[in-house]
Amino acid sequence: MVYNSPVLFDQSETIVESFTVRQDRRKLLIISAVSKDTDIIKPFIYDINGLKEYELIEMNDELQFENISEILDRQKMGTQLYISAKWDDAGKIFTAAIEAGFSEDEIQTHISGEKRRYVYCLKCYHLQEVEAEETDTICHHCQISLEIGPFFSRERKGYIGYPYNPAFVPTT
Amino acid sequence: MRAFGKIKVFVEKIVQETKSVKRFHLYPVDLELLPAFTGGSHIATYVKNGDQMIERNYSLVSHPTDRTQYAIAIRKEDHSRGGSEYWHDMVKVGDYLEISWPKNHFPLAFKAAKHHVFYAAGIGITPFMTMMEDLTAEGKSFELHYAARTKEDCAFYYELQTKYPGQCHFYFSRSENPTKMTPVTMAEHRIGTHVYFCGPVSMVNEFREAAELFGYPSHSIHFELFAATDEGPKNPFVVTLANSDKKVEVSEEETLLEALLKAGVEAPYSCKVGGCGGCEVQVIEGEVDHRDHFYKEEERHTKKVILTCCSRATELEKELVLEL
Repeated sequence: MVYNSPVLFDQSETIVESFTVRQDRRKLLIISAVSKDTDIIKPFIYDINGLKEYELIEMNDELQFENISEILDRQKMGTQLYISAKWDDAGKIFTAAIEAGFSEDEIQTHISGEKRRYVYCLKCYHLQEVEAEETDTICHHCQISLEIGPFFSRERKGYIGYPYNPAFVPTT
Repeated sequence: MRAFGKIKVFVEKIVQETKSVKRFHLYPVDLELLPAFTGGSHIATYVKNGDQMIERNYSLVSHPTDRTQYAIAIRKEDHSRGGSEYWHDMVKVGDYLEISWPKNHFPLAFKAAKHHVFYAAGIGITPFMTMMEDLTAEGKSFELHYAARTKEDCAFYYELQTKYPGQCHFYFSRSENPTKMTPVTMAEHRIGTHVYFCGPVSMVNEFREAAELFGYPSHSIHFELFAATDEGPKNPFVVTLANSDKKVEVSEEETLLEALLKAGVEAPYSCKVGGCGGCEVQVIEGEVDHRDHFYKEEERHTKKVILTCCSRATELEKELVLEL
């Protein structure tokens, strides 16, 4: 991984509501880490309709994340990856895929449940989780007030938190 | 510190690489270090043939860290437009000429790629010489597929074999046991591979189309052409330059860029083969017949632009109005 390799974040271009068949790829690789994930996988396989080569990998106790890197590493060019998982698992699979050489254009991610959002303090670089709609927060490390900016840092893996002094914010 | 502009050099050495390829070593007249460059770079060369100035682009083949000299390799073309023939027949050791600063329209995808694969046909090997040096210095993974008629016609064959053992695949179409370089090998490249093509237009197009069919994303496909695609009718047309209200006629024998330069218009340009976008001009009125390799299909419909080095007015269109 290089310092600014793609990471999974709440606004990642790879996140989709439902999977779509990429007709321009040779093979579709589906990795599901959600048990009984029939709502998204079944209709997708129906859409593929046997017209494309596909492989479905269902993660369970026997198939751990270490094996996932191995599977991703042996894929050939022309493969489109589909990740269906909860946020933390999706992040691990996504990182392994980027490490293997997939680009964001070659990945679709479906998140089961809530997405996570992170902000980092521009004063002390502490990274912390914030609520989806939060616009301001307090840094858990240096206690400074932070305004959550719109820019996501791939290197810091969070949105930029701009320090400010609440005493200087005019009341409206 | 060298001022930006043309650099005066002299030919210090000429090496006959193969029957039809010569390597020219160019040293700066002012003895200052030459500008640094990256793998895939080329220079424009300006040699005088009587009153005529011959301007041609050639890839650099000398080591990117050697700034005391530049080397270029030139194949004498069977149907030379004058450039390669002049270089082969007239340029001698000790001759002076001018060159541009290095430019790079064919850079390596350093950050993104896990593996780089080069496909070269004939003299198309030249940009890959410096790219492989850069990748070796960075400890990156790469392989070369290189097609020539015979081993004797294969420029840099022994140098490549020595420097990169096990990483080069040669294909000789006219040897005792002929082998053909085909796009089929691209089906086996691992995820994260970037492919690079350089050679005749037909070869580059064949490999580009195959890569797309195999499902390669467009950002993993890179190519460089030495000549513009010679397709479609060369209809005469007229351009009106909106900024000066000047009219320039473009005949069947010339490109729009040639007509503009001949008329004394300071039109921008660089590669002259429709690959870099350096000659882009905004179009105010008229329909363009795009013949470049630069724009995506979608851009051709949404942008009102023309690459003057290769594109023309459509056959039915007799006039274009340009923002120039």
